[in-house]
Amino acid sequence: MSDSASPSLRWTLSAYLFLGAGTALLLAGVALRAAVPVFASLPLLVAPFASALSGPRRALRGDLVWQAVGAASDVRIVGQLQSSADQDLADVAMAFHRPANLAEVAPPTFVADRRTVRFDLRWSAPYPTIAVVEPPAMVWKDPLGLVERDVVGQRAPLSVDRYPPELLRLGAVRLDRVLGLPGETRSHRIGAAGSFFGVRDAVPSDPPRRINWKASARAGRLLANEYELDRTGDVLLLLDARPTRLGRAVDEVLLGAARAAALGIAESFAREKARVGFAVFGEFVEAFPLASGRGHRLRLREAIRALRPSAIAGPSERCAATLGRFFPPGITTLLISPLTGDAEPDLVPYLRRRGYPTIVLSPSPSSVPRAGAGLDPEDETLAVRIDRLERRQSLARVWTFAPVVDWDDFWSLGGFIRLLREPQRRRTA
Amino acid sequence: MNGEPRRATTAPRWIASASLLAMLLVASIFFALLTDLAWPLSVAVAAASVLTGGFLRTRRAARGVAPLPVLIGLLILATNAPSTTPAELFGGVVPVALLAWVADDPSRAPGGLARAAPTLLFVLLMLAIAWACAFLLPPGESLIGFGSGLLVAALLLVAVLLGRPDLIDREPAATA
Repeated sequence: MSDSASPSLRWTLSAYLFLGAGTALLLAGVALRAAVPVFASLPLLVAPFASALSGPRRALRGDLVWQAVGAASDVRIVGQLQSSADQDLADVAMAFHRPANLAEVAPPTFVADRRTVRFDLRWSAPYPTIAVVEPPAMVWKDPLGLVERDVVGQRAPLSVDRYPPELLRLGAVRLDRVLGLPGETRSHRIGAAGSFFGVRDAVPSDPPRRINWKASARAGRLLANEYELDRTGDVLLLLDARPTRLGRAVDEVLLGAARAAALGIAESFAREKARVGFAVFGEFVEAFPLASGRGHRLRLREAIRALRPSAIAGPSERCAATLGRFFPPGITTLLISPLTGDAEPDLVPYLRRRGYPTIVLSPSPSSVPRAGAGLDPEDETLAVRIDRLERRQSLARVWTFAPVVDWDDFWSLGGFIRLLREPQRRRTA
Repeated sequence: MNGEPRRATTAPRWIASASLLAMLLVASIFFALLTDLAWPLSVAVAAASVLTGGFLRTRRAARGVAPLPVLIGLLILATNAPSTTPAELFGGVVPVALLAWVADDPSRAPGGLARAAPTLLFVLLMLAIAWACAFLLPPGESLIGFGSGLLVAALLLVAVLLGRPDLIDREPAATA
């Protein structure tokens, strides 16, 4: 992606200060018929133009190569700006826009030489999150700081996805299929597990256990086994983006964690070629019908990234009724909802009545630190206990219709995955 | 937005910057002693302006206007300076010292003074020509007319270049 930065030369505030002071001194010298102000004005008037003439006379071109590394809450952004036209980048300044859901751990470090500027940003994600880091503003400034121009070149936004690492293994969970006509899609896929399918030439990424040593000895070259596995089934991810009584700030945090979990779940199942449907319910339902493939994964990723809390809560029945237009009944439905609103628990019975077997993942608002209400420690402890009891009661009410996972440790989803892997644990009242 | 990028600051950068600030302070105080103002007042103006500039540079939000107090101090001192040779010399030295201090910004990549050397040398060359004209050429009425003409031309050049920085820029226009 190319940027829209303007490569034209611009004067900075310092240049205007110098030119203003120089002009004032020059006029004072003429008015007072004194030589000293005129001599003092000369360097101030000349410096901006000398800076403009001694700097690069054409736009600076640099390509940004960057990536997010680290795991879980650790977010480290490393990269470099590389001159693509053999120009000096030592005076290029980079200003990064940190997304609100990421916190700064340490000041950024920059190491500049003539052709490259390397940077290292140390941020952290307090909660699971998906964030898009926009390319930094990159401006060349002369050493005196009197003229500047934007650096142009290739740069693309960087996606920082942080969700519990257990979700990477979620794709192995077997899902039920709801296809009316099974011949519509291929029902098998070739992969690393399942029953034996055939032999092919080995590639460097093949682990030793996949090498067919006897066949390799016969052929005189490395051959690897291929396996055939039944394609996994279908899943619907339903995200509850309705406002709660906890306020916008807490809603943002809970929806941020829910988005991260939804992305992790969708990616894991999509990697295993399962058909993934996605719906978000705010005032109305926005649905992405069941599909698989790279294009669908990209669509889901964009949709989940763009999610924001809804300002108005729609009635629960509307959600259940609308889903029927997009998704067949019987599909495994994963509902991600904080279950804190007055109407939220009602959503699950409506889904059940419409024929959607639901599993609820509920990000716990109790795990989100909130501003204290001026309580003394004893009352604070009591308030926390009451909050926990109320939460437990609220979840117990939903358990009568669907299994619920209370997601209170945001960096772990072990309980949720166990529930998906072992259907016998999903028994409800 | 994080604001202006912060670089890992190390002591040597601040030492270089402090040395240049000290040089600016000494030049300003020397210049202050040559003015017609009472010396305590002139020295106080010089010291206060330079130290305020140094303080503003340590504040990230005010870094862009750090030269302003120094420029105001220079304006006060220069308008109260007599037309003597030492005062005229130091009147040119103080702005050059200011430019050298501005060039070595600890918040930017090290070596700013060395990279600004071509600009500073150009400024010094212009100043040397002006000094040579003032001190070596014989005085006469024709010089006043010549000087006035140069002044008008310089002001016109400033006005034109401020409005049209693309006259210096060689980057082809996006619509070309």
